[in-house]
Amino acid sequence: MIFDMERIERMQYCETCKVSISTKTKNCPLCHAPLPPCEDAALEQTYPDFSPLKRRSRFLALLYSALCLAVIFICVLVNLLTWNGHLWSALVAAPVLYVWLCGLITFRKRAHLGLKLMAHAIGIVSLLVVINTFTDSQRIVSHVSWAVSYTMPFIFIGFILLINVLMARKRNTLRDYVLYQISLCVIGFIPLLLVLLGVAQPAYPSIIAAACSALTIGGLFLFGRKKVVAELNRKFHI
Amino acid sequence: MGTVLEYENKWFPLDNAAKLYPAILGPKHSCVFRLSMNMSQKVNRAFLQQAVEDLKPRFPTMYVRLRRGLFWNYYEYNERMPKVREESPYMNAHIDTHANNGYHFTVFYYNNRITLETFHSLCDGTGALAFIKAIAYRYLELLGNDLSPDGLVLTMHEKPSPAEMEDSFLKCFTGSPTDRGEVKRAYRLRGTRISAMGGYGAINGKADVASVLAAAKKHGASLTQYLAAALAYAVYVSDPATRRSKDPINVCVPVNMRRYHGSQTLRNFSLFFHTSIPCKNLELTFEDILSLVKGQFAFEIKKEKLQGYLNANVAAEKNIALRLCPLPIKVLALRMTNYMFGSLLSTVTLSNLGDVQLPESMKPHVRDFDFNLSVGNQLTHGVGVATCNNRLTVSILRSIYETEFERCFFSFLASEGVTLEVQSNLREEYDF
Repeated sequence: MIFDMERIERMQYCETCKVSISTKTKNCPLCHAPLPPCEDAALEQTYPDFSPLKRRSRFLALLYSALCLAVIFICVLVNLLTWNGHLWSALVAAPVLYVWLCGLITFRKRAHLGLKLMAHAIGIVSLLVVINTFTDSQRIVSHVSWAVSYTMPFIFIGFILLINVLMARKRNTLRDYVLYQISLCVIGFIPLLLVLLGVAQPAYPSIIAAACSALTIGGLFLFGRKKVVAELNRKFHI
Repeated sequence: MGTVLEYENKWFPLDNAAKLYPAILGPKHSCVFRLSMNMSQKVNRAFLQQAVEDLKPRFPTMYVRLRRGLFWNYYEYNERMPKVREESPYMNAHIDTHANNGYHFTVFYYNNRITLETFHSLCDGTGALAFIKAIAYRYLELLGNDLSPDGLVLTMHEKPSPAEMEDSFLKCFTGSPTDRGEVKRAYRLRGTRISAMGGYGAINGKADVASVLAAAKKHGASLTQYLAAALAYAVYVSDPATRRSKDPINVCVPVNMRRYHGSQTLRNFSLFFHTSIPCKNLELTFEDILSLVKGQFAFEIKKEKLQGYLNANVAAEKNIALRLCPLPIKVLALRMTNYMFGSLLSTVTLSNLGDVQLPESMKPHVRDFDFNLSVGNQLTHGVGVATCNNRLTVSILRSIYETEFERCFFSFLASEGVTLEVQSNLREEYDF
């Protein structure tokens, strides 16, 4: 196609810049001088109409964070000002902190479900350990703590089984979950380690959690070896 | 790192140039460039969507999603399908992959125009050009046109070749000599920044390629040399502060490395160099600037010189200490490198895509081509040049309101006897 001089002659012309303008506009885009009116068909709307984008409001997220932090701050302050030997504010601060952090990650659309579950498992366990420590400080000393001996192993077992079910239901999502699941299984050995260190007893919940972790890792390599190895290759390529 | 073998496992590592972009990506630095094909008829959405879906097996390096590893990012086969969209007023905007089915490219339509916006990490201009040509070809086929590719377009009936998927940077790495090149910090055009809600401003100038070539020939220069000099001259004329600044006017010019190594890759394989025009306390004419530019082109565009740049880039990637760093630390390092060596070194970028060759049977359906480069906060102006059907388009994308630079550039071309048709996305009319 040869450059269409006839078409150019039907466009608006800016005398200052010495150029023809094919976009429908009242002013020259270059020097902004008004253009002579022109009704010709050679003029076109080159780009879609512009309407300024609305900024996505982050007000709710900010308000949520501010409220959570304010509650923690006020509790700690009141506790310290009226100090009676008990750090009761930890019992308020820990759940609020848990709700705050887990709320932020749960409602993040982009985070993978595997990551969210892992975060919740670690979050709940930590929260319960804190509650246990500050409500039952006598027992901690005698090495019997329900948070470490019972809830920690059972919560890990629950989350590991849940991810196993999710992976089994949709086989093609296995590679997305695999790294989170392996990480969770490694964490699943912590209760047994605590038993061996003498921090927790009885041993049977921790042994079940360790067995569950070992079986899951074994199962992953047995049934999805190719996928697991490929995913590890991808994630760890140097 | 045998790319093809790994692709059989449906993933591949990022090439040398691709590694930088995900690190420096952000809402104010989209790293997205844009190719538009203006067709002779209004575009049909359904056929375009079909064309994009049909080409999935043909372009395995495009239909991917970016994943994060512990040491490096990688691309993985995307099982979902891309969605064709109507063009938004926000050109070259950051691609929200979450809302884009994981894809790092988007195909848009608007009136007669088919547009491909691509994240630079996927491919460079040449790769994207092959892709949009294939989309337009398949689209025209679906409309019932009888076409023949004439060896100029990749069609869905062929299989992708390993050569198209290779990482040519690694393949052409020779170890030594290495050359980092020394570039001074560039003068930057001042202006009122368009807010994030305003997007970018675009002004295109279209002309008969013969008239621009004649003007270049009059000065004894090639088209790219002539345009690079004209851009530097426009910066010099539009902003009197250049005469007081110790920073030179640097025009960054990407070089397609395929022609030196016979590579067919559809991924990244470009390097760039800078032409540097010092102008402190100098009264320069266009001729002075052009002679400087010509000298610098002759000095820089030599295979040995470019090989030195390539070796330096790849050697950095091969550094074992860097490779063993976890990804977040690498991202920090790459951001700092880009800040120091990348965007601060250019006043304006000029990329000439050259003459877009189309098969004879396709030519009546295509009017011309637009090519917009990505810009950001530091690099205020990007200039893309493409020629198709004897129509040359110079597209200037900018991140500031003022159009003085564009005015000087196009007025200069007009004064050289070039008849120009100017288009705009009218961002200069809005006041924020």
